[in-house]
Amino acid sequence: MSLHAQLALTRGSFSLELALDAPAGQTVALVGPNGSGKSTLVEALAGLLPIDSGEITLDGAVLERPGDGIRVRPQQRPVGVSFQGLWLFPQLSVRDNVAYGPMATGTPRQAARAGVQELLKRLDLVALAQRRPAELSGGEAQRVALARALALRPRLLLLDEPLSALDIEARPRMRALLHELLAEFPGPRLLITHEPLEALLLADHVVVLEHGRVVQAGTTAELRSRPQTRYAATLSGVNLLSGTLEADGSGWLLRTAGPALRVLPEQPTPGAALHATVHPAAVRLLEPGTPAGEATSWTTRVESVELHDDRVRVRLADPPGFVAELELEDARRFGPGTEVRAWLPAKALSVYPRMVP
Amino acid sequence: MLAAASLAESFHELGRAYERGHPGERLVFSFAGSQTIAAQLRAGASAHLIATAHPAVMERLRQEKRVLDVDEFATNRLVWVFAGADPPASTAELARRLPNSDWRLVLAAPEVPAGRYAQEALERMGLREAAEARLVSRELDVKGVLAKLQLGGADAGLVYATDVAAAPGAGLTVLELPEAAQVRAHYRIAAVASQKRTRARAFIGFVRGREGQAILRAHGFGAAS
Amino acid sequence: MNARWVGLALWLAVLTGLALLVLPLLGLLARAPWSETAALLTSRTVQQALLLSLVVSAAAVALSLAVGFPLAWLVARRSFPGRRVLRTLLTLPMVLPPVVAGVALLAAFGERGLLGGALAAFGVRVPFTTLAAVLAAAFVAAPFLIATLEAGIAQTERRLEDVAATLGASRWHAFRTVLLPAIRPSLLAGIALCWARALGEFGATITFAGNLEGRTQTVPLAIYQTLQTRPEQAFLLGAILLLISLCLLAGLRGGRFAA
Repeated sequence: MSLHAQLALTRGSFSLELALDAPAGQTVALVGPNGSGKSTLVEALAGLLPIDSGEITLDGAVLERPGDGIRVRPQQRPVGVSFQGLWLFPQLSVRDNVAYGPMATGTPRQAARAGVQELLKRLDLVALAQRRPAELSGGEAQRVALARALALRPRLLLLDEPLSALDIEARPRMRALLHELLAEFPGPRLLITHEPLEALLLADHVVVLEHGRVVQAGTTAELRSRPQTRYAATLSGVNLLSGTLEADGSGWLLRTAGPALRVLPEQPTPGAALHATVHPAAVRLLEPGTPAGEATSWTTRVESVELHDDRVRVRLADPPGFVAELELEDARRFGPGTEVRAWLPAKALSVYPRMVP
Repeated sequence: MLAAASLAESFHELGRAYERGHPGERLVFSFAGSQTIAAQLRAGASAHLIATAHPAVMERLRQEKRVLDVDEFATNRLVWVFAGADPPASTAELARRLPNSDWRLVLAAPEVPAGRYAQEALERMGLREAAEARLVSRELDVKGVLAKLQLGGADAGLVYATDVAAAPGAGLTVLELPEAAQVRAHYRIAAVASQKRTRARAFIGFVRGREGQAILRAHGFGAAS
Repeated sequence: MNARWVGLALWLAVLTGLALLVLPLLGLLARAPWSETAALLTSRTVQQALLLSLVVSAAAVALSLAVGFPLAWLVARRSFPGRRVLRTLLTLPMVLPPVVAGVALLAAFGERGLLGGALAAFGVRVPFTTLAAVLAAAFVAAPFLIATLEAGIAQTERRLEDVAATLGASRWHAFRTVLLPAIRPSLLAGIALCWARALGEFGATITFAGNLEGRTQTVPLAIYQTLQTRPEQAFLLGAILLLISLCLLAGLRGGRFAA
């Protein structure tokens, strides 16, 4: 039981082209900035948007293949979808919302209602069964949307931003519930999110989508340690620098558009295109003019200072977007606009091959 | 001035002629079925003059002391207008073919003078039942009858001679009624009681005078009896 | 401006509005000779007019629904070249003087009309028939239904029907269970407006269908004719029509004022 999608489609000026595989029993997280095409993919997989070329197969059965003129209507696809925005039917009760699928596919009303009772129990909705969507909280509504998607026992589950309707405080509980539900679901699961934490906690595999193309795909561990794009790096909370490797006396230097970085590559090849990541906490900020020794250092200006929990994130002017994380007392010395010397040791930088230009 | 619908064209011209001869005077007209203008007068419409197409209407107003200086100023007669295909050459032929035809007949409703006159005429022609059978609409004023004949839909109808005097219109045939069956419509004009009547009487004099009568004649009206 | 004066002005406006709208209705109800109701209702002419009015207006509403619903859906949901033109055309009968509407209908369906000539060849003559009365009423009343429905449909989220599709609902099932319940207030309001307009139609009816008892004389026509000779009876008939319309409107919109 698995999903195999290799498709291309154009919608207005936006084009989506990707290959995606999700085996049964696995949760694949699809992450990407707004406008990258995530929701478009959901619509295409659900059958609401036709693809221009390629194919979508689920468990070996072809759902869509324009080349052969095959296109299974959304009604016929065994796909359960929880949409961003939820879209519960406002005139129906919670129970009737969940039972909508079975009722629409021929099950008599009473039987359908009885049939979803287990699902309501599983998602703790029995007490709310008679309520209307307008009377529900964000979390309750999301549970209804999930139950509704599961009611027809689909073979592929698509969840589009399942935590977006919830307050921050309510999210951990929902995350835990999702974790259980996803684990119980036998088929492949696709989870769309722009929250790095969700992706990393709930998924086994992550696919990064930017501008309608897949820029990186791998396990969550791989994504964390070796992000290939700025966006992917942001998900993991690290700084990303890219450059070419060159020998420098006894060591190696990564020439970037900004500072030249002293690095410790594993298998150095002169001229190799590499990425380098460094965690913001490993960056130290010193007074300008402080000698640096063997470590990489460069002088730049402070762009902005932000408070995150009890750490301070200092954004530097060069390289653009580069962040250093400091303790509160240290940060006091560096207000916006002040000149500062950034300092990071070679071992703080993790270098790896660059796959994406 | 309130006036019967069938007086529209002629009174517009009478008004213009009067204004030319009496600078400073202005005439404003309101045309509708005779019953309607009588009702308007009763409801309080501020008019100086009123002209009706049926004597009974004016008589009632006179008894109610709402009008004074009542005078007959013109007469009218009815004519058949035929709009369908294969028009009859004479009223006699029309009367003969009517009962068995598929013609659609339009008449004014009996509540309006034109309708009352038409019923009388049909009675005299012995066509009342035949007409009833072929009737498709009782129009609420005589202009409506003509409109139905002109716009298509109706085949035959009875209207005032003055309605078709100028030009009957394309595709319409006008047939005169035989003298025995003809009804005379008597038009009366009067000054409204509550108003100052000098100027009203002047206009009545004009309408009954040589110039006024000439205009009325030109529109197809007959002389007052 | 002093808030007090503004409040006063508002109250004045409200009272004037009430006077303008409600006083004539109250006046009619007050002047109608209610003691003659029994005599009136047993008169054949009146019975025919009442029956005809109900039948013609109901048929006009049905016709408006059959033709108007798809049109409203089309204009609300699909974009196509000329969409705005179509929308304007569909609301045109609302601003057309009813008599002009009647003339327009004659121009289309009268013997010399665009379609009438062809129909006449088949022996079908439309003017002066009850069908003509239905067409006249539908022509002037349908735009009210279409405009209301179009607004209602445009407001519904198309996404909900997409969701229904992913849950296995056929287009028809989704229409019945998702769209119809959502536009129910607009639908009822539209039908109420359409019916009221059709009931009161006069100008187009008399111009296109004529005025004959039992065939085309609806209550408004009967009222106008009766007004010539027996105005009191006309008031009574008018008051009765007013009450019927009130019941209709109340029945359709009843407790559903809050959508």
